[in-house]
Amino acid sequence: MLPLIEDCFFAAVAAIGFGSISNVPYKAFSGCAILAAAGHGVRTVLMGEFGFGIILGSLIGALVIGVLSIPVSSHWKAPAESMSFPALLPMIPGMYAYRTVQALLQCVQNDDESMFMHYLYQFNYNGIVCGLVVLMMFIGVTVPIFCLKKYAFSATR
Amino acid sequence: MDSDNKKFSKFLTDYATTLLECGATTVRIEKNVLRIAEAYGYKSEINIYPLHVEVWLKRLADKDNELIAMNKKIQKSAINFNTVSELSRLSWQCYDLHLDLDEAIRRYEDVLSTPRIPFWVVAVLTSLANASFCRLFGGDFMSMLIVLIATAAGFYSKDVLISRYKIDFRLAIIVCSCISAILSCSGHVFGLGDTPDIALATSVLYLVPGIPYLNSVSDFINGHYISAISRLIQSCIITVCLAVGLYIGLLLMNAQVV
Repeated sequence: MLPLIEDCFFAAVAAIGFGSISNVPYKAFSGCAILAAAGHGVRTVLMGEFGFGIILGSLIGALVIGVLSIPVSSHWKAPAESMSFPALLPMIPGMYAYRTVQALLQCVQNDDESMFMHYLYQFNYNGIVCGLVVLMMFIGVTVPIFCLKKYAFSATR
Repeated sequence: MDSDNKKFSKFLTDYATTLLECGATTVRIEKNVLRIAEAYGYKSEINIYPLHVEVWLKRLADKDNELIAMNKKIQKSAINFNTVSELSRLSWQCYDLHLDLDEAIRRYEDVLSTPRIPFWVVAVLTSLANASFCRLFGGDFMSMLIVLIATAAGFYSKDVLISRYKIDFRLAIIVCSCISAILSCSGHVFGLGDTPDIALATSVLYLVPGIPYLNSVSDFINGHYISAISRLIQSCIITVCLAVGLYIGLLLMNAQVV
C-alpha cells in the first residue's frame, strides 16, 4: 500500500485531469482535488489499516466525497456534482475491469475445459467485484446530494 | 400564443436542452427550469426524452388556462460543467434579481459563448491523470511514463478522428482504445518496468464514461427512468467499445497476458 500522502496526491491529480475533460469551472478544480484526496485517502486507510474490503471501503469513501461536496460546493459556489463526480473517478476499480477483459480473452483462447472454467471463474469474480464497487461508489456519492437537496441545489445562488 | 409567451417558452426550452447536452442531472434541470418559470410568473412541467426535451408552460395570471408546449432536439452532447454551473447561477439570478427576459437571454447567450479549457491543457492534464491512476494501482515510474504517452496519443487521436474527420464516436473510441493498448504493450514487448500489466490496464481508463454513468444513477434515484436508462445504455456502449479496442490491441500484439 502506498503511503497515504502519496495516495491522496495522485488521487487529486487524477481528479483534476478528469475534471478538465468535463470542463469544470476553473475555481472548482481545487474542490475536485480536495474531495478526491479525502475520498481516496479514507478508502486507503479503511482497506489498509482496518481490513475493510474494496466494496465497503469504496462505499464509505464515496459517501465521504458526497457529504463533503455540499459544504465545498457552497464555498466555491459551483454545483456539488461538478466537483464530486470528477473527484469520484480515481476510485474506479480499473484493475478489476482489466482482469475481466483479460479473463474473457483467455476464455476464448482456451478450449481445454478446466482452463476454460478457471478463466470463466476469473471473469465472473472480477466482473462482479468491479460491478459492485462501481455501483457502491455511484450510490455513495449520489445519495447525499438527494438527502441534502436544500443545500446541494442552492450552492450557485 | 402571443410573442412574449413564445419568446419565453423558446428561451426555457433552449435552456433545458443546453443543460441536458452539457451533462446536468435531471433533478438539476427540473429545479432550474421550474425556478426560472416561477420567476416569470409561469407554471412549468418538463419531459426529458433520450433525444428531445419538451417544456410545458402555463401563465399563472391567465384565466383561460392556455398551455404552451415546445420541444427541441438534442444536438450535440459534450459534458461541460462550467456551463451547467453558470446556467444554474443564471436561474438564481432570474429568481432573486427579477431579471428582464431580454437580459436573461443575453446572459444565457454569453454563457454559451464561453470557450472551453484549451485542448492542449486538457490533453496534458488527462495524460497526467491517467499516469497518476497507474501509480494508484501500484504501477512503477516506467509504467507511469508508458501510460502518459499512450494516453496522450489516444486522446489526441480521438480529437482528430471526431473533430477533423467526423468519424462516428463509437468507432473513434475503439480506434483510440486500440492505439493506447498497443502503445502500452511496449512494457511487455521491450521489458520496460516491473509492472507492465498495470500500465496496460490503466492506459484505456481515460475513455471510461464516468460522468454519464453517475448521471444515470442520479436519474434513477430521481425517478426519471427513461433518461436514466438512455444514459446507462449510452455509457455501456462506450464501455463496450473501449473494451473491444483493448481486446483488439491485445490480440494484435499477441500479448502473453497471464
